[in-house]
Amino acid sequence: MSSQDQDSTRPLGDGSDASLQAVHADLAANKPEPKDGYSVLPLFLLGLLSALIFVGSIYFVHYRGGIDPLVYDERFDPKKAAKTATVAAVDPIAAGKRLYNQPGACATCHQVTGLGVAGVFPPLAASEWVTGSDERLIRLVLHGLVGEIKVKGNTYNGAMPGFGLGSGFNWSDEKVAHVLTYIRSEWGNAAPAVDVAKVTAARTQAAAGRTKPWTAVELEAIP
Amino acid sequence: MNRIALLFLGLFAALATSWTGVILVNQGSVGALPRVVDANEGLAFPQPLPGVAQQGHLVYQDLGCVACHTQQVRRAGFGIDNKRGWGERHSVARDYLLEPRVLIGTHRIGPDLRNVGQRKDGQEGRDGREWHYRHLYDPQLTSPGSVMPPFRFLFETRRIVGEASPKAIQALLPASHQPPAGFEIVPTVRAERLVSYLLSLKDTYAYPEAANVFVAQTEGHSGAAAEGAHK
Amino acid sequence: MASPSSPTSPASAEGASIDASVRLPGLYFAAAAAVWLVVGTALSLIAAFKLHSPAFLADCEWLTYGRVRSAESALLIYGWGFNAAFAMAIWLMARLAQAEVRRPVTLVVAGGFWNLGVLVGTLGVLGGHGTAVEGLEFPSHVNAILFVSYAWIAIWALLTFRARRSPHVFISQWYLLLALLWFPWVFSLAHMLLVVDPVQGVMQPLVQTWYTHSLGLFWFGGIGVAALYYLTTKLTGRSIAHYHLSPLGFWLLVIFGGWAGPARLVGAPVPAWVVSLSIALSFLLLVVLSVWACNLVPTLSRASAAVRQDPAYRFIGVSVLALLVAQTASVLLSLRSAAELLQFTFVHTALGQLTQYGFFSMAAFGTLYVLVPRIAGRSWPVPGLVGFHFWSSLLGCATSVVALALAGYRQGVGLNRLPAGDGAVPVPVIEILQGLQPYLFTHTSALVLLAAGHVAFLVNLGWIASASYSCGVPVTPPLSNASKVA
Repeated sequence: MSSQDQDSTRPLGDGSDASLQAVHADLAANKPEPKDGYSVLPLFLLGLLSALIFVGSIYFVHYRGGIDPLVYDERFDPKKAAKTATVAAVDPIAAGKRLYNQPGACATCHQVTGLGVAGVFPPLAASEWVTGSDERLIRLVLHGLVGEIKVKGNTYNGAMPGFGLGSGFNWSDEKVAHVLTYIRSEWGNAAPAVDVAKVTAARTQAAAGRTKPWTAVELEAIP
Repeated sequence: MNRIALLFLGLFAALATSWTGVILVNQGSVGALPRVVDANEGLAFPQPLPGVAQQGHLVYQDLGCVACHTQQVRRAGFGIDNKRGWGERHSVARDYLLEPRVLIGTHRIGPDLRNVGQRKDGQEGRDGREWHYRHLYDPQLTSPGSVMPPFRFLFETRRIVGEASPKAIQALLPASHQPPAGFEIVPTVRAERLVSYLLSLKDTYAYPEAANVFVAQTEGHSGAAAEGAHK
Repeated sequence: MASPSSPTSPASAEGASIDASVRLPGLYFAAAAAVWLVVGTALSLIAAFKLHSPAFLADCEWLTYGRVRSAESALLIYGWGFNAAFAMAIWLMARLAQAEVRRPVTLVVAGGFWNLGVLVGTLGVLGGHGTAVEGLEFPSHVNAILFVSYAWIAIWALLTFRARRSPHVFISQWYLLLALLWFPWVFSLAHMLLVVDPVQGVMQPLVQTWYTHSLGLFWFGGIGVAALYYLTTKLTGRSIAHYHLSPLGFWLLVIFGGWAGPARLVGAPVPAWVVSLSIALSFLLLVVLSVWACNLVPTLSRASAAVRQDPAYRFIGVSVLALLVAQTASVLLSLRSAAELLQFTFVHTALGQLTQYGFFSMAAFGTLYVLVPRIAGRSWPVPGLVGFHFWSSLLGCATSVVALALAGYRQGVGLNRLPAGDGAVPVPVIEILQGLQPYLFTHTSALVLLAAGHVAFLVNLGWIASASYSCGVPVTPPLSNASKVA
């Protein structure tokens, strides 16, 4: 048995740990003579490693799911889906209803029924202010109202707070639009919805800088 | 000695890399997911469980229910979880956001329990406490042939003193399981809490990310091929 | 023939003093390991019996299936696995460094604390105080005891390594260093992130799979492969084939092995990219397996007929085979198409059995059957029990793995495929489990066989240990059936 066996194992000398270390030190330092100038095994391992790196990379790229923490389906590509995605629309009337009924907001005075309190708070149901010009209504809700106002033949004299950005309620334009859409379609009212863009335009352009509440006279001047 | 220092360094670098890639990167993304604030409902999801259910979660944990039951619903097309009525949608990470111990499980010796609080189809009283008490007392009563062990130690058989307890369950049990005369079978506090927890298990909120599911394009012949390739 | 393992040569006299220094801790850890093994197997038997006969001992809250399953898993890992690993690591480190272990009593004290922790932890899990984290079931306070004991033992092993005589570092020592250095990090991190201050939501399964995978691949894998390399070369008396390739396997394992944990989470509510990356990187473990195969298999095949009769050789051979099969299967099963069918089934139990028992436990048995007579200074009192242990372990493990794998396949098909025909309804889970009863019963029977082998091991070990101490100073170990190593 030659010490340079074809299967590249050697005897361990006297079998002790010292000779084990020595033999293997020698093996590590001096690689066995390759036959015909190359040895098959390292090439095979190199080939296997390359192939597996290749396969692994393809696998990962194909199944990466956009490397997104919110993607749990490996076949899903967020970029492709974003093109066809529809943003989940908030239902303005449901949102508006919720806002209307929030404690301390509209229902506190105008009541859940929209009928108000006789002589104190005007009704919203069948009110000409609600179903009429949306520009007046937007300003009214954004900045509030003070002083006398005539609604459905009755006069009310009170103070309504503003609800828009910058007020105590600090509602976004979207919220204002939603609540207006709600009251214009509830309790038998059938006025068109209020657009968010219109609320923003009113707040930032037409009535920019306005902080104090409106009076009924001022509002009636607006078409 | 230098070689050993290199070895130590290499080991540490490899450990650090794998930890960074597997844990740290995810801790910054999926581990930091906030709750979803729903403008329509005015609530943040997931909603925390009521306190009784949270205590029931501890009972679930200590009895080792996770050894046989998973709590993760797989997406449609990957197995048949949806066809079994185990959930309307697949589970997403946010479902588990508020759980102190996430028990998604690794074995399905019993059914998945993620939406067990929601199952009503055809099972009489499944969404009520009675079914769960009967099932825990002796699974063979509600599910003949089941390999679930009976959890009789979650119930107390005690002498009726004064009035019978309104919580007693022997009325739900057949004649073979009746206690001796003058005794009643009452669920312990642990049983009550466990059942409260089980009944609270329902993932109903439709998170936006639950829609991130691949849908094969159906127009054109390439769609059919894509659908076939992705099955 | 000039036996390379003659006990009277000067080299082995030197080996004898090293073995003498390992005697106390080695016998202690081996004995503790054997005791935990028998207790753990008994708990496994109870759990396995409950799978097909759920009313068995059902009124005992401490033995409810969920608790007993967690307890037996933790006990076999931290009780049997770690004690065996400590015995192996200390002996291998001392032998390869050709340095004596100094003040070995301290290792026994540390081991005593470790085993106290395991006892308290197991009782805690059975009493309902477990953490319910797979792989870290022991209550929080126990983990602290375990960590401190571990640190003590690991430092001792590293000091022994530092005192090494030869400039060359044999590949087994690399794997031992890998195991000794990796474990405290993953253990303390997992403990912090899962038990002390749990991370939020699905990060928990990510950390947990990262930990259990590291534990299996780096701690048990490292110590096991170190033992395989050492015993392969020592038992056959030949050097490792293609030895110059072994560092390649080592470094590929180190660099890519830590990523493969989350591959178990296919279909789970974790980001898909983590799972895909994990699966992709676990492909590279096939190269590591190839290196191990081309190192160990040709060398083992060069063993003489006499060596092939040695039960230690047989244990090592089976361990190598199990390692290659189990790790290949693990990579294949993590592919999504396989995971869809087999994810939550007994196939993973079978795979765990093949890895933990077929690979590590068999390697541990082989090593212990070699090291114990060397350090005890006596041969095995009942050689027949050694052979019995081998055959019962081999047959028990093989039967159990095959039975569970078949059960798992059937379970997977039932759980995840609709029966043929229009309007088919999914098979009820109860019906699926009923159909698995014969396989589960076979598994229980296989466990009985395993338990018998383990009792044989314990008996032999107890006898040799007590005889070693009752006869005072250990004599130079004579050649016998199971101790052909110098």
